[in-house]
Amino acid sequence: MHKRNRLFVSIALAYGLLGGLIAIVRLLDPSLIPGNVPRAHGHIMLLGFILMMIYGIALHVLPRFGGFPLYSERMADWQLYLANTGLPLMVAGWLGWRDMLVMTGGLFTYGAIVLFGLNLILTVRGKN
Amino acid sequence: MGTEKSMPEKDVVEAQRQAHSRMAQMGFTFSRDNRSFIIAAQGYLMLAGLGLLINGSLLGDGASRPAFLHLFTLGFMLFMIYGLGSHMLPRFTGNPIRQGAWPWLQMGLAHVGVAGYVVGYLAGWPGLVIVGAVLAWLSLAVFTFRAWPVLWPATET
Repeated sequence: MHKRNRLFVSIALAYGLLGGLIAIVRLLDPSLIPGNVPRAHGHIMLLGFILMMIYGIALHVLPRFGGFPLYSERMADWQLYLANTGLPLMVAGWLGWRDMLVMTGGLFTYGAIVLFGLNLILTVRGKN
Repeated sequence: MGTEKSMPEKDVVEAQRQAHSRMAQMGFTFSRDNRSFIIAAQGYLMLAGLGLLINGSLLGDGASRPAFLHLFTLGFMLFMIYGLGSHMLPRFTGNPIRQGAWPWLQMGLAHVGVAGYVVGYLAGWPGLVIVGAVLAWLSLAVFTFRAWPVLWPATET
C-alpha cells in the first residue's frame, strides 16, 4: 500500500479521535471550547475521518478494480496536501469565528475533492 | 443451451461449500469479528432509517435528531469502517492486525456506546449521552491501536 494512502488512513483515524474528543468535551462543558463546535465536529468527522478514510482506501483499490494504474500519483499527492491544509483552516475558522479562514479552507478542501474525482474518473474509465 | 445438463442441487450446494472453505482458508472471507461488525452495521442502518417513518425525514428537526444522526454515523458508518477496515487493511499491506480479545472489546465498547448515546438522547438523560460518547470514542481508540501496526509496522518490509 502506497505510503500516501497509508497516511490518508492514519490521518483519518487521528481526525476521528480528535473530532470525537471535541464532541465529548463539548458535552461535558459547552463553554470549554469556543466557537461553532458542533459544525467543527461534524466536518472533522465527515471530511476528516470518513472522507480521508475513503481517499486512502479508494486510491488503493479502485485502480486495481479498474485494471489500470492510478492516472496521476502527483495529483493524489496534492490531494493529500490540499485536504490537510483545508480542513484545519476550516476548523480554525469555526472555532475562532473567522469566516475568511472557513472560506479559504473550503476552497482547499474542494480542490482536494476535485483532484480526487478527476484522478479516479481518468483512472477507472481506462483510456490512459 | 437446451442440451446442457443442469447440475443437481446438492452438487451445487457442495461446490459452494467447498469454494467457501477454500476462500476461508485463503483468508479471503470475513473473520467472525468482522462479519459481526458488518451485520451490526446493517442493523443500525435499519434503526436509523426508522427516522424516516417517525420524523418524515432521516434527520428531523426535533430532539431526536442527534439520536438518528448518530445511529447512522456511529452505528452504520463506523461499524462498516470497523468491519471493512479490519478485513482489508491487513490484506492491502501484508501486515497482521491485532486480534484476540481486541476486536471484541472494540465491538462491545461501540455497541454500548451507540446504545447509551441514542437512548440517552431519546430519554433525555445527558449523563448517559456522555457515557455513550466516551465508550464509542474508546472503541475508535482501540481500532486505531489495532490498525496502527498494520499501517506502520515496526520493521518496514
